[in-house]
Amino acid sequence: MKVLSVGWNTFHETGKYTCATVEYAGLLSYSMFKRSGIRVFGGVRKITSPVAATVCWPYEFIRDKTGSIFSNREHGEKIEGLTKQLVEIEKRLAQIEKHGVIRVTEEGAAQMRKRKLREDKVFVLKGILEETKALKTKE
Amino acid sequence: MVRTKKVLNIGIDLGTSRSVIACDNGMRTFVPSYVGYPKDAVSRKMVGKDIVFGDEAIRYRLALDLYRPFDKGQLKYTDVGDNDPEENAKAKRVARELLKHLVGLATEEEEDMEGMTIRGVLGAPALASKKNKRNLLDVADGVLDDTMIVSEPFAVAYGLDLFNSALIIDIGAGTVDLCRMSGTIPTEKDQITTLNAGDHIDKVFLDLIKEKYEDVDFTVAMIKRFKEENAFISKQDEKVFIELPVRGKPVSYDVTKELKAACMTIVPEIVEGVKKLVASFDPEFQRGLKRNVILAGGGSQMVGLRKQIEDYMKQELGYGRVTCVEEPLYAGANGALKLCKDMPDEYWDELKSANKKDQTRESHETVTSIASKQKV
Repeated sequence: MKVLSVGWNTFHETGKYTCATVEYAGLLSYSMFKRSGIRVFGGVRKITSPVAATVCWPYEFIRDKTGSIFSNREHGEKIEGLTKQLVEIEKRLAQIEKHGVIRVTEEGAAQMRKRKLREDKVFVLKGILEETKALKTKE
Repeated sequence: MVRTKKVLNIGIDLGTSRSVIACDNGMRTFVPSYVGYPKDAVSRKMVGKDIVFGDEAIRYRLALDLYRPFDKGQLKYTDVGDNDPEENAKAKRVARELLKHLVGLATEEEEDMEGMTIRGVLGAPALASKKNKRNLLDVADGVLDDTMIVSEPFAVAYGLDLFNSALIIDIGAGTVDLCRMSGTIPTEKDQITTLNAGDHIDKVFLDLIKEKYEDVDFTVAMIKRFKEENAFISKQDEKVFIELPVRGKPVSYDVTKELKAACMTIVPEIVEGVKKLVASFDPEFQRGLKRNVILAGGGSQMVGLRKQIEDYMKQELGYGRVTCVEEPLYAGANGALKLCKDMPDEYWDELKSANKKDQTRESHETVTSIASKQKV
C-alpha cells in the first residue's frame, strides 16, 4: 500500500481523492436517474400509445380521404423536378469545390485553343518554345 | 483544320514540399513531395503497395525508405557542390515516380485514354541552372508526351495575365523566387532566387524550440505541420501553443516568440530582393512595379507577411502595394496550365520534330562512333 507523504503532497493527494469521490458520486446518481427515467418512460408509453392511436384514428382517416382534394399533382411533379435539379446543382458544386475548375467539353476546349492569342503572348510562347528546344538539344 | 485528337493539358509545379497539378479536364490536386518504398516484406504487406506517395508515405514513414526528390527547388544532387551521379539518378527515378503518380491522378477519371496526348508545362525555380532544367525534362520524358519548361514565378505572372510592370514573389519550401515582369520573357537580370524559404523557417523554429525546451521530443514533420497552420509575423496578441511530448506525456508550450522569430528570418532577403529589382528597373516605370507586387506560393499564406513587405517598401522605396494571389498553392500550376493550353499546336509539333531530329542525330553519332571504333 502506498503511504501518503507529509505536507503538500498529502494535501494534494487528499484533494485528488475528494475530486474522485465527488466525480464518482455524480456519475452514480446520474446513472440512477437515467435508469429510473427509462423505466418510468417505458411504462407511460406502454399505457398511452394505444389510447393515442385510438384517438388519432378518425383524424388520420379524414386526412387520407380529403388530402387529395387540396394537393395538386402538377405541383408535386414540379417540386420533384426542382428537388432533382437541386441535387444536380449540389453535385456540381461539390465537383467545383473538389477540383476548382469547371469541366470543359472537348469541343469547348478545342474552341478555346483556337482562340486568337495576343501578339505579346505569342512572342512569349515562342520564347519558351525556343528555350525548351535549346535545353533539349544535348551539348 | 481543327484537330480531332484528344489532348490533356497539365500544369505542373514540382515543389520541394508539395507537388501541384492543374489539368484542363477539371482535375486539380497536390501531393506532398514524398515517395516511400517498403523496407521489407512485412512493411510491404502492411502498406499493400510497392510504392507510396504523399500523405500516405508520411503516415507509414517508419516502415518505409522515405525519399524527398527535391531540395532547394531542384532535383537533389544536381549542382556542382553536391554532384553525385548515382544519387542524382536515384533522385531522378523517384521524381519520375512522383510525376507518374500525379499524371495518374490527372487521368484516373478519363474513360478513353487511347490516342490521348498528354502535354505538360513544368515549373522550375527562377534561376535554375540549365542542368537542373534538363534534369526536369528528363524526369518528364516518357511520362508526358510533350513537355515544356518555364520559370515558376513567370508561370504565376502568366496565369494572372501580368506581363508588364509587376513583381512576383513566389515563396516555396526550398526557394523564394522573385521575378520582375517587363513585357518580355524575364532574363537573369529580372530574377532573384533566395534559398531561405519554408524549410529554413522549419529549421530555425526547430532550433529555437530545442534551445528553449530541452526535454521535448519532436520531429521536423511535427514542426512543419504546426508552422503551416500557425505561421505569422504580425503583432498579434493571441499566444501560440504547441503540444509536444516530454517522456511520452504531451505538454503544451508557448512558442509565440519562437515562431515569429523563425518566420521573420526569410523577410530580410525578400525585401532586399524587392529593393534590388525595383532600383535596377527603368526609373519611369518603377512606380508601376511598386504598385504591383504579387505574393504567391505556400509561404505567402503567412499572416502579416504582406503588410511587413508593404511597410518596408514604404519605408525604403517611398511606396509599395502588395497583394496576395487568391490561390497561393495553385497559382504556379494554374499559370503553367494556362500556358500549356495557350501554346499553339504548331509549337508543340515543332518541339516534337526537334526532339526527333535530336534523337536521330544522336543515334547516327552512336553508329558512327561504333563504326570508327571497329575500324581502329
